[in-house]
Amino acid sequence: MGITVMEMRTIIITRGSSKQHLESVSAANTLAIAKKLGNTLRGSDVVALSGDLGAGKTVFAKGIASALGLKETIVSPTFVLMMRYRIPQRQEKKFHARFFYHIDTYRLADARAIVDAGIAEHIGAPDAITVIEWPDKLGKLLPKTTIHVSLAVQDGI
Amino acid sequence: MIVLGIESSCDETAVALLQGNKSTSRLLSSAMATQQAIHTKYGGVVPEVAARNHIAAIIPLVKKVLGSRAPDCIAVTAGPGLITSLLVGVHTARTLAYIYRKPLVRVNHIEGHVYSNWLSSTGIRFPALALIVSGGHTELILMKGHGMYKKVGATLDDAAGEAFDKAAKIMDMGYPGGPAIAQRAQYGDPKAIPLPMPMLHSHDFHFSFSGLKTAVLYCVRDKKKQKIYSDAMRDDICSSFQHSVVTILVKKTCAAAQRYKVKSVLLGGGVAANLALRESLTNAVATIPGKPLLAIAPLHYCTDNAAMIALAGYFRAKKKKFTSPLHCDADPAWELP
Repeated sequence: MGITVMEMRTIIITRGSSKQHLESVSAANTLAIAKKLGNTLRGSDVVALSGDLGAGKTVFAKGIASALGLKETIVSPTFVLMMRYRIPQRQEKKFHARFFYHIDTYRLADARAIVDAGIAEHIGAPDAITVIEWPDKLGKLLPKTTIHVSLAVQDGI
Repeated sequence: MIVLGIESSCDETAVALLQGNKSTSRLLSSAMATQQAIHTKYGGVVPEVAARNHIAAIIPLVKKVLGSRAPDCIAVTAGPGLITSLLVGVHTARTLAYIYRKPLVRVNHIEGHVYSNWLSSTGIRFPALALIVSGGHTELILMKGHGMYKKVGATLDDAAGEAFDKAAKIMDMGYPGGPAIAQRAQYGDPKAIPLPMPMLHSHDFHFSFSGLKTAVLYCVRDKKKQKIYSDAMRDDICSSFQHSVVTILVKKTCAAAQRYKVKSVLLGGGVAANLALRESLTNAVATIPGKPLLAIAPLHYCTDNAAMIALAGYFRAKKKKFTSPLHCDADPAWELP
């Protein structure tokens, strides 16, 4: 029953002046790419995940969380807007961070709403690694050092 | 015991006064202000707008519901939900508890949905299994007794209601997506589009709806490319999508009900208003050996309401689970154990 979903995705990771073009053939592949990036992150780093519904943003966030050693299930934060997870103590030193923030602005109107919801103040916190889905609305609230990841489903058929 | 219940976890401000009783509780009065019309404009809930409207609505609602009566206890939703919205209810409850010098009880929003079943059904026996499905939650909760919860299953990514909302967005059907898809689904063929049923055979009681949403995305994109994305095609996708979600929810619930040999199965939360889900679960539970009782929250108690919070608060109050009005906090990520 059901169909096997085999769709190519383009993943572009922009970090400062370096730009990486990658391709993912499956959710497992996207997870592995995210995990690799996750291993290079440190406290105060912000990762902005762009892409349409179904592009694999939450899968990418799960990959980063698994690199950080989180055991909890990373669920979509669309409803609660932001989830905070504790990075396991034995991993704190490696990542120079204690928390993993998973932010989703999908339901928010604009930058003003993000500030009013009490979310903006967490972005780029020195003791946390922050991942943001739907980052476009943030505008200038995003730090200059933000790592941009854009995910896109390639045209099928 | 007369309990005043306050709910403001999302975009509904609700207040209710309930005469609590071990077997049959009586709703004395209730009032609600909904912001759905406002948020539909934005395609979702806007927290700051939500909070501002809660503030404007809550005191008049409390006045209207209380009349000249004073409660014996005050119960408030302390989480999970939007922090800005939760704070309005929590601070109102704290203040009222302080003024009336009555005990204050924090209630979990999911626990409230579980108790929405006791508002209308009698004869619910333990152990009971509750499926709570809404825009923010998809959880299977096992209860060995009042106030004794064990989460045995939950979504690993998107909530069922969120999947409806996002699938509706992909098909340009507006917000909230659940009713829009359910309405069109009646005209489509549930078997027309072979959509996946994620985790159906995973041998646990967890759910995953993210991949189903993505499958809808591929399907709409491909049909558009082939220039066959008509209204009739969209109805078929709606119907097939709803069929997948309902099948997964029902199969997992029945499997868990048998595994834990429950005497009652309960259904609550916003998605519980979906008629296909109500019908399918009714038919499926009837075939479970041991014939557990099935309680389904009536439509007006599926959406967020304060009567369910007051009732859950009553059972907490009976166990003396009070909180000091000076130390009662909102917890946006509060999970039942």
